[in-house]
Amino acid sequence: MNAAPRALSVALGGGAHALPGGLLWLEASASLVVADLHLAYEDAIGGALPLWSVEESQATLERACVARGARELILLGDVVHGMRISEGAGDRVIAMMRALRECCTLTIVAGNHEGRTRGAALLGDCVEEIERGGMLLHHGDRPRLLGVRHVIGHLHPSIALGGERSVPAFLAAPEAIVLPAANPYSRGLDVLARECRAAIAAYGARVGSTDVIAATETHCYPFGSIASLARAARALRLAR
Amino acid sequence: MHGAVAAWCERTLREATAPQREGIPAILEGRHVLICSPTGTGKTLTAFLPIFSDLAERRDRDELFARTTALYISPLRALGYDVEHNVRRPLREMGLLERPDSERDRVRRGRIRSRFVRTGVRTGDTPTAERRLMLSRPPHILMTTPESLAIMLAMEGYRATLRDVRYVVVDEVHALAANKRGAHLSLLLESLEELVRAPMQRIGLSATVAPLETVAEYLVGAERACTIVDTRALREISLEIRAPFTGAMAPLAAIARAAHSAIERARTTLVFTNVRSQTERIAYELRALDGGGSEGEGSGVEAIDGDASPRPSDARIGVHHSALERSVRHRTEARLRAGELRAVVCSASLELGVDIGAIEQVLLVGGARGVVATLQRVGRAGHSPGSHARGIVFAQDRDDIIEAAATRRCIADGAIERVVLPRAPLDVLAQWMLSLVVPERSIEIDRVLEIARRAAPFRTLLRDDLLACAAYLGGGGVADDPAHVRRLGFDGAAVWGLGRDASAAFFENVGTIPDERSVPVRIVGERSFGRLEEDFVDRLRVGDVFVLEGRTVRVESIDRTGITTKSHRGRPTVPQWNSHIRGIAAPLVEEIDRLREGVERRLEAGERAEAAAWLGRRYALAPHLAETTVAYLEQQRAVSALPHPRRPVVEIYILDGLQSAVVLTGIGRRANEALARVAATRVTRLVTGAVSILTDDLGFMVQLPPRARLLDAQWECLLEERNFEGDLREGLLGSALLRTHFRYVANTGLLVLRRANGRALRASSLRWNSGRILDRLVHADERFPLVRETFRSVCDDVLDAERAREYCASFAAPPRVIHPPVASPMSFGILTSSFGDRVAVADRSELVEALHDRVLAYLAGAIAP
Repeated sequence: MNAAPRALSVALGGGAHALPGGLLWLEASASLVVADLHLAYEDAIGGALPLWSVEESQATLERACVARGARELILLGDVVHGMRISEGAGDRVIAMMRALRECCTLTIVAGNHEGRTRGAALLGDCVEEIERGGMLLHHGDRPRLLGVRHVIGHLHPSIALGGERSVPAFLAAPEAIVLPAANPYSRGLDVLARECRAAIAAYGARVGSTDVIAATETHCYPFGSIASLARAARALRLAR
Repeated sequence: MHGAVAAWCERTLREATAPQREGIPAILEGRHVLICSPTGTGKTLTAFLPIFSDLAERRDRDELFARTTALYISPLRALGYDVEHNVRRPLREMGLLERPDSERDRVRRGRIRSRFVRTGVRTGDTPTAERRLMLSRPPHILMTTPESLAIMLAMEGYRATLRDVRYVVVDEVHALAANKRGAHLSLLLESLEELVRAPMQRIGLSATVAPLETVAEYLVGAERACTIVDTRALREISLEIRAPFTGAMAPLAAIARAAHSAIERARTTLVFTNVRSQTERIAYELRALDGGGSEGEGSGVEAIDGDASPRPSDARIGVHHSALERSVRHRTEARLRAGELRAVVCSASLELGVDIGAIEQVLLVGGARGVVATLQRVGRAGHSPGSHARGIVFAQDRDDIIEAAATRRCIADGAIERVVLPRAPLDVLAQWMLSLVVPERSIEIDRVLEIARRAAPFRTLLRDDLLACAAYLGGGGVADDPAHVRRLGFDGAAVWGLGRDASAAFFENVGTIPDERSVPVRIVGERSFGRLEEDFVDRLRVGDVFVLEGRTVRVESIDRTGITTKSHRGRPTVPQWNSHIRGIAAPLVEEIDRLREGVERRLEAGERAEAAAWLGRRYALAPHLAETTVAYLEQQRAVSALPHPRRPVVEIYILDGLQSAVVLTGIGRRANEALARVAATRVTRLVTGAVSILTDDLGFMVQLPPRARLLDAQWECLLEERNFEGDLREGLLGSALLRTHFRYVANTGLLVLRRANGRALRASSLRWNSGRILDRLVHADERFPLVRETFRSVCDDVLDAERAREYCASFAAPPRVIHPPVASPMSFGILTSSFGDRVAVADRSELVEALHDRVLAYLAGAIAP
């Protein structure tokens, strides 16, 4: 995919579409996928703060499910930031899960932050992986067999905008789709960082054929491949 | 005094010093006393001799109970160890000190009685076994820091040992009174006052500071009287000015050469610089000159394995700054004391009174940016009663000559910076309030208010502010959103502790010192020898060459455990890391104004020779320095104009195609920083895009985005006083400066923790989180106490917003706008610096749009790199 003007959704192949807000739409199963919500982040880091991230995430997901007519909502791991959270925060997360289940079918894929399937106590039943439309969906923190297209989270890809700013971004290759973190506190891993390249290489994806799509709250911005973005960043001396 | 103490004084002190003559009687009378005298005039002994006497009398009466009688509090851990060492010697000589093999305490009439005085140090470094021992056998004289005192006051075991404290000695009061750490200590002293059986006697030790009444009030609180022993002017200080350059400025190598020849002529020298990076560069150059240079000249200093620089243990030039490992700093101090080092290059880290032995002279590279700092630094020389303190300023440019001349005049006139106590910092209040109730105590909110208001910085504390802090700590959250993490219980009338788990946040995060994380640096196969700030490390790459502790090293690898380096031959490729540059202090700024005005008046009258002569008369400037100064100001007048105290000069330049305005004010860096943000905020309303700002002591620069231009008439209006506060606030929102200080406030106020569940959060995560949280807080509730405190501390403590506003209100005429044909001499420094902050940057969507457009255009071949 070449760099292209901004859009309300970007097709990633195989019936998958990148949406604003870092959501992924799977046509075949009418599934909405979101990764790395890291709910109750404020509480898990010991902050004496309101759970703004829970409020926001719930509202965003409910709105998106209704707008798309989603049959299923898939939370792709790291739904909560940690299991050491206050009782009040735990109750709030449980209430959010209940509300989402009323919108559509809720599928929760286990992530490392909720201690794999130990998160079930808080979140309800979790699975290690699922298959939708010929793609394997899992959190992405453990190696998987190649030969199938993977849909993962875990890496929190983003594009650095200079200073302390960044924008979440999808990575899309024939071998894998990486969702950005939906948590508003995540700075993310710069898509041009060596660690990011190494992580996608583990799925057999190459920088020349892995596209970067930035996602703000309202639009998607196709930046072309990692290789071409890196070339532009070098040539234009973009703030890293 | 007790016979043993009096006899020791007779035997050991030939003659009492002035602070001793005036201070000891006042202390013996039981009065609160502030002793203000220069370093090296026997202040510490003044405070301790009456305490020794009291302890000796208690022993004679068989009333030397196993409890702490005197508490010594200093801002530096090292100073505590130092002073303990220094009080043990007289105690030993008086026959009062407990020896390891002496009789143990005896239990009589049900109470433990000691035969000898014990001393001890309780800091963050004290081993657990020693801390435990202190609980069972408390030292009679305990040295500690504000943070350790906070912990002790919150632990039942220690509280029992502190109930009989009779004396509190606060050292280096001048270094505490004006900051949040000092505000915290003032509250802790009131907590201690609540705990002790009888009112304590407070003794403060301070180097030169003004006004003494403010510092005295800080020491004893708002409701007590304090005797001031003022012997400030007793020590003779000489300040010589040298300018090792002929043009406009001296390269560091020239400064180092001049400093080296001065070092050669003295037994021991301290070289002060203003930033850590400069400390390293000067040390690097000095070591090269001393024989460890990259050319491998013969030296008398052993070079190892082809190293460019000698190992620090072999060099005669030491380095000392706060980024170095504690053990490395201690080793340097010990070697200096032992006379093994010829010179030590340091930043402010050796400004305070850690014992470093006899220093013959002090060199100041570029001046100390303040009168008090100059006195403090130069006062390190000849550190013994009656000796003469000798300092030499090495000017790096012509502004340094002016600064040094004005400093000398201020010293002669006794014009020194005024201490201003922070106004009721709410983050400190929140942390202290929690310390009152952990783990399970409770206290009425009105009582909290009463205790807090006794501390001078909190004298004007509003009840509503206290309630707002209590509500937030009690889980009240922000606006209508509650928080689930509660630090304490609060019902509107009282606060109470919530047990051990909830108290962990306090014990793990006690204190107000900003947590600037650092990363250890090691040489392959060796232990770490220094630390670098995480910010700097984020920008380092394998292969970069930098200098640390005077050693040139090349980065081999960077990982979670630190940076591995190899010794390297050759010049550094990475010049410096972030350091906070001190602004020139207020009385000095005013004297510099007078100097410039005095010269200008004479130049206008065509009396050039008289201008130089006047500089000689008023500032004791040598003829060649006076001539350099007059020529400098003359050049400025020829190319542009000199700023007037009530009329700034705005110089317009085009730099790399961008319109840039240098506004010369001469009102000092802190006020300029505030002005720059106000000006930039106003500019962003007139142009589209990000505006960059840069400040220094002489003025500030505002640079416009590409293609934007303002008319002269628009530049003239930028500093109007109208809506100054509102525009400053707007300019601060979204700035790196506000985010950084919110992080400090949020950490101190325990909103966002530095350490949670036994783990320290990464500084970069803390930085990031705090920025996001601040955005949310400002959006949700601008009146949230820690948001207000962030703005207060940035405007009052970091910037000098009030001075800036007054300046704008004082204009006699609109700023003078000039288009100089070349860079004016006064603007040169600003024009050659790199930018500090950006103001009113577009929101994230706009940044993404802009980036996307540029990348698209580049990939389509529409723009060339």
